[in-house]
Amino acid sequence: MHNDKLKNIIEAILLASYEPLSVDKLFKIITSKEKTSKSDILSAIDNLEKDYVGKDIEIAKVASGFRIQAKSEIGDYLNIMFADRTPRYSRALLETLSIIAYRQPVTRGDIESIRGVSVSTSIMRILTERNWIRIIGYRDVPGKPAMFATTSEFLDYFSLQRLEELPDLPEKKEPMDLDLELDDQSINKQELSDNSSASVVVDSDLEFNTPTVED
Amino acid sequence: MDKPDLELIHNEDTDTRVNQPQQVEMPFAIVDGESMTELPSDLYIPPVALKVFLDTFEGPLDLLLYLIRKQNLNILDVPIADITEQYVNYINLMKELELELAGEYLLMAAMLAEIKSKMLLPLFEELEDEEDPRAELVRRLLEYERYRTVSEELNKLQRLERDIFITGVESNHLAKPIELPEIALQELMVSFQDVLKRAEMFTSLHLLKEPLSVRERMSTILEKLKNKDFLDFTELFDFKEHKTGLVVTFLAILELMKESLIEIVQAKDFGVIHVKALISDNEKITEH
Repeated sequence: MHNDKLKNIIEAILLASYEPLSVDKLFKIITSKEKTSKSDILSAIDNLEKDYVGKDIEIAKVASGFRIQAKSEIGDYLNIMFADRTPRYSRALLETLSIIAYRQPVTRGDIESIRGVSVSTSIMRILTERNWIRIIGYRDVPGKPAMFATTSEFLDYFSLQRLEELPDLPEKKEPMDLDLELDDQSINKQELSDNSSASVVVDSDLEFNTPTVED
Repeated sequence: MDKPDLELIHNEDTDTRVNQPQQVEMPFAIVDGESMTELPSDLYIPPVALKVFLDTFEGPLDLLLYLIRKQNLNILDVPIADITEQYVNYINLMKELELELAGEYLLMAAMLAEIKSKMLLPLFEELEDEEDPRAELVRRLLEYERYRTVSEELNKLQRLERDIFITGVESNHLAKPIELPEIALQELMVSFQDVLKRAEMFTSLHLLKEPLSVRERMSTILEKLKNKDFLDFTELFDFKEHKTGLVVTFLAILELMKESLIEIVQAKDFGVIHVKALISDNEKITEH
């Protein structure tokens, strides 16, 4: 098939589809009518990408495949258009989602022990209904609690291809390093101990002095 | 994260708490070599301000982190008595609003009080291995903070419906209408029969609640066999009964067999099964 024709077909298919399509899926669709190959499809997508340079739409690769989307630069305009339809997610929901994403598979108990509050049923329902999380099994402990994991729809939504692309989880700190760091997270311990002007006095076991590390 | 940037209102109540324990006179902390005899008054959050907080905190850990950060508290020098008081105020407010949440804060307040009481005890050298009572709390705070921070990062990711929008064109010119499978009336009937059958199963489940005792039935059977040489096996059943009743009768027969109270005889293959009592008439039937 002629390259431009393939490119146009792929463009139309991606535009008509409201969910990302993988190369496999595109191949299946197209090959039912025309002879083509996966590498042809990939290079057609490449060409299509070049077509969009300088425009406000683009081809993005996310976990479930390719999709054509409006660039984030014009998100502001679209937000005006969709004013009331932009979903807002609470901090509680985002925290819950983060714990599931980074610690999966997790049970409700795991989430509760990290957040210190009970898991809201409505949050879990929203996450499940949006297809961002699903139950992938049951932990073999009393009560057989369900274990949750994220889905590829979750990655698609956040424009990611793999879980590894998530922002890095801050490094785990042990209480030992703590006494100097909490007032200002950005100052690391090395700096503090080198800096003699920071009046940190460490004396007896029981008296934990408040270092005056202020901004 | 949008925290209300509250000016902590100086609350007179804090100063007028004359019945503060004698502790007030003693330095409760040494900050930069200076002993502190009074708590900074801005550590106290007046209830009015607390009300504003209600929507912004995600739990006791979140509130504690906020207090520590915002008020330059060192987590290892948290004036626990004071914070506990703030918590109690918070809880009082929440009572009307979200009782369930208040419980979690109450738990934290109790934990803080426990830590404080542990810290008041002298430290013995031989117990050096003993962990600082605050360590567990601090560990939890730190762990929570990691996820809280990363959830803010997650929120910054470009996401659909906010930063990125899927483009689409209408494609209503579907050449092939979706073919729905035809369903024969007969299949529908079969399915319905299945439903009925299933419903029937449920009704028979209710019968299990009938107070049928195998023991009682055993006595009835022995009663029937009394003064008779033997009875036809089928005569022992009352066919007006439901299945459950029949099963109980059968179980009773088996039980009687096991206890050697009856004998079951079959004269020839496929012949009639006879049941015979093994106890004589004058012998008493003893219940177990």
